[in-house]
Amino acid sequence: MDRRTEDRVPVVQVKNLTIDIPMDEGVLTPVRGVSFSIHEGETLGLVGESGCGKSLTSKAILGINDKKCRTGGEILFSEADHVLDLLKLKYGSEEIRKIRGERASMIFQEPMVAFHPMYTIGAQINECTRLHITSDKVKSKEITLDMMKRVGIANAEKRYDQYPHEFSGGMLQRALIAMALVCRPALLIADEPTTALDVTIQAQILELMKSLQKEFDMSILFITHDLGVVANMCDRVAVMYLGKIVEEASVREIYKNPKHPYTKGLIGSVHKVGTHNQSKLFSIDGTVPLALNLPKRCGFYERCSSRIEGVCNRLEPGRTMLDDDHSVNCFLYDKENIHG
Amino acid sequence: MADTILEVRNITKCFNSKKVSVKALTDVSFDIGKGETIGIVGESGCGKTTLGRCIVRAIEATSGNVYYTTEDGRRVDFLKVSHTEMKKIRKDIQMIFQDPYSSLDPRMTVLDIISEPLKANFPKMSKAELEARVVEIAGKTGLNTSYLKRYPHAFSGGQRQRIGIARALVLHPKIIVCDEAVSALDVSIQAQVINLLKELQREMDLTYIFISHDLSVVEYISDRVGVMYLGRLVEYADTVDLYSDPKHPYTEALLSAVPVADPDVVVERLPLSGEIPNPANPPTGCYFHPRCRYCIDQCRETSPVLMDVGGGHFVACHRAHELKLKGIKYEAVALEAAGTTSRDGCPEVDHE
Ligand SMILES: Nc1ncnc2c1ncn2[C@@H]1O[C@H](COP(=O)(O)OP(=O)(O)OP(=O)(O)O)[C@@H](O)[C@H]1O
Ligand SMILES: Nc1ncnc2c1ncn2[C@@H]1O[C@H](COP(=O)(O)OP(=O)(O)OP(=O)(O)O)[C@@H](O)[C@H]1O
Ligand code: SF4
Ligand SMILES: [Mg+2]
Ligand SMILES: [Mg+2]
Repeated sequence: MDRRTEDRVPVVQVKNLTIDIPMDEGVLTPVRGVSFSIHEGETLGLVGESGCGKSLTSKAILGINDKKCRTGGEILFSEADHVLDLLKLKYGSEEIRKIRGERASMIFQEPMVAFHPMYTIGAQINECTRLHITSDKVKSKEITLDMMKRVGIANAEKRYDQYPHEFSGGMLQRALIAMALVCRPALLIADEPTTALDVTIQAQILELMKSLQKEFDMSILFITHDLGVVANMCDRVAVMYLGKIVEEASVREIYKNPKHPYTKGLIGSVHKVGTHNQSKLFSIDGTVPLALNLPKRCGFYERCSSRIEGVCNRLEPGRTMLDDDHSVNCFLYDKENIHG
Repeated sequence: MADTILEVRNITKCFNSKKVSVKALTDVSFDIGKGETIGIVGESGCGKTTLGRCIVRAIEATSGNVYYTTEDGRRVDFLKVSHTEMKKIRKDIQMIFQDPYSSLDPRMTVLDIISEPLKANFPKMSKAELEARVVEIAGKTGLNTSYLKRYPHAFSGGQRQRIGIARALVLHPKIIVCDEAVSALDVSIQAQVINLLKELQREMDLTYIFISHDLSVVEYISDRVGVMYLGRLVEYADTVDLYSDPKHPYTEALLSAVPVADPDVVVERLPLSGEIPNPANPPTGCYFHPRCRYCIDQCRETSPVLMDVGGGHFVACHRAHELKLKGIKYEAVALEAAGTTSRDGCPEVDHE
């Protein structure tokens, strides 16, 4: 399934996004120039090690990062007849509230924290319906119940009046999906939506997301560190390392033809079930540095076994297009710029 | 096959509170060979951690036995040995915990953390010898000795897990229970720690019980795998045997849900309906019957026992002999390498 179409306008375009966080020890730079776009009906996977800036990036789209985060760049969101730069909208303005929850919504890893423990599940989902779709009480409840049924909550009428603690983890994640989708958003951001769930429940939730995506023709930004889930869910994959996207390609390209030494390491370090391969797992030495006072060089330099001394530790690689749909940030593929 | 080092027999564990009694483990039995790695898988709450804790005696089992064959060839019940004997053999069985963040005391240096079990077991050991043992084990686990004077908060997840491993190894145990030892780590760091565990196993002749919910990591590291459901062991077999030819409907469903890290592999999912039942109020008969697609009347009434259906493949299912279940597809070479294809013709596996 090739979703790539040049002529369609992407639903969202993130351009050179930067996020700085002032701290006592200095300024943290966890997101350092991230660019990607997502087309209609497409799922883009965002993968990378813990702390590489995935959640900050996705939360920037919805404008829900901490106030102390200083954000730069552009986040262009396509509406029917115009394009909005979400970063230019005023905090808490009418326009941003309309986008958030109505045109774009998010599901998180921990469904428990997304719900208020003191209100019933139904009331909380219905709050979204009333706010964004209809103020008519009867209609609104109808829509809410319908959505709860669609995400596979059995006995929706009874479940409507239950509290979060009466739901299991899997059911709660379904309820959260219902809440995120009740307004039929154009973009769904899913931040590790199944990481806390068992494999059998995870498989159910992923299937559910796929079928709802088709039904609503929605775009998904899917954040995860699980390469098995990515292979299952995504059309394209952006690999992030230390606040930058280091490689982007179709899901097949990423698995069959990875180019960046980090991507190669990542793919190589996962054991593929069904191979009974007993040889030593590939592993990348060292750990991710903290994004504080980073020198000007390739972010992966310290851990890279293919690094070019005198180049990779002196310059930062830019994006090289290998073909229409495969880009990589690495000097091994950028012979022209090696000399500055 | 290797000599048996541990025989787990009918372990049952009840947690009793004022209101409810939760039977977290029911009659769990299996054998472990010396130098083997046994994987234990199953959904959250099925009793994996409780089993590990009962085996190392971090908690006391309600009933059951764990026969341990000591270095000098004696067979003792680890759960019931005398106090003096326990002093001698307690160090032989150690546990590594899931969370590298909370399992280390933040007020102790790495040196203190790793040497603590030594001090407890050998109160008369000299300071110099203590340090020598710690340095030796730190080297083995890939910890720079300059780290020893630091506190754990200054370390990354992978380094903390190495500290946890060093602490478990410093007493030169024979058996280690690894409870989700790599689950909290990033994939690239996971690979480092898994490689380390395998190297140490070879070097120190260790036996592992590797508890994890990650079925692909378990396939990689284990010689044999046990599948648990609601406190019971429902299947136990050689790894490739279990993955390629599961005999229990729950194992089949579990395997069909594994996300495979290859976009070309299309897996046919066999979705499980319903959720894992409450262990305080388990179903009648086979605990799995309410979610089982192959359930017959007998399943609702009587509980199946774990039985060898051939070649050391143990299953607890009334229909194990007649069902033809789907497993993971292996390439023929892989099956051959694992010695699984020859099983039907001439069994190579020892029978007791
Ligand atoms: N509010 C904050 N204050 C200070 N630092 C923060 C804040 N939020 C995030 N960070 C830091 O920014 C970096 C990126 O964080 P982010 O949550 O985006 O990581 P991530 O890629 O989502 O990681 P994970 O896979 O662990 O969820 C981390 O080093 C994190 O500690
Ligand atoms: N100290 C305790 N008191 C009461 N119940 C307990 C206690 N420890 C565990 N349980 C219960 O025993 C059952 C098994 O728990 P256990 O932690 O062994 O599961 P697990 O398989 O390790 O799950 P996970 O994959 O989530 O770690 C659960 O129902 C749990 O709630
Ligand atoms: S015993 Fe019956 S219910 Fe249990 S797994 Fe086998 S077929 Fe299913
Ligand atoms: Mg995150
Ligand atoms: Mg556990």
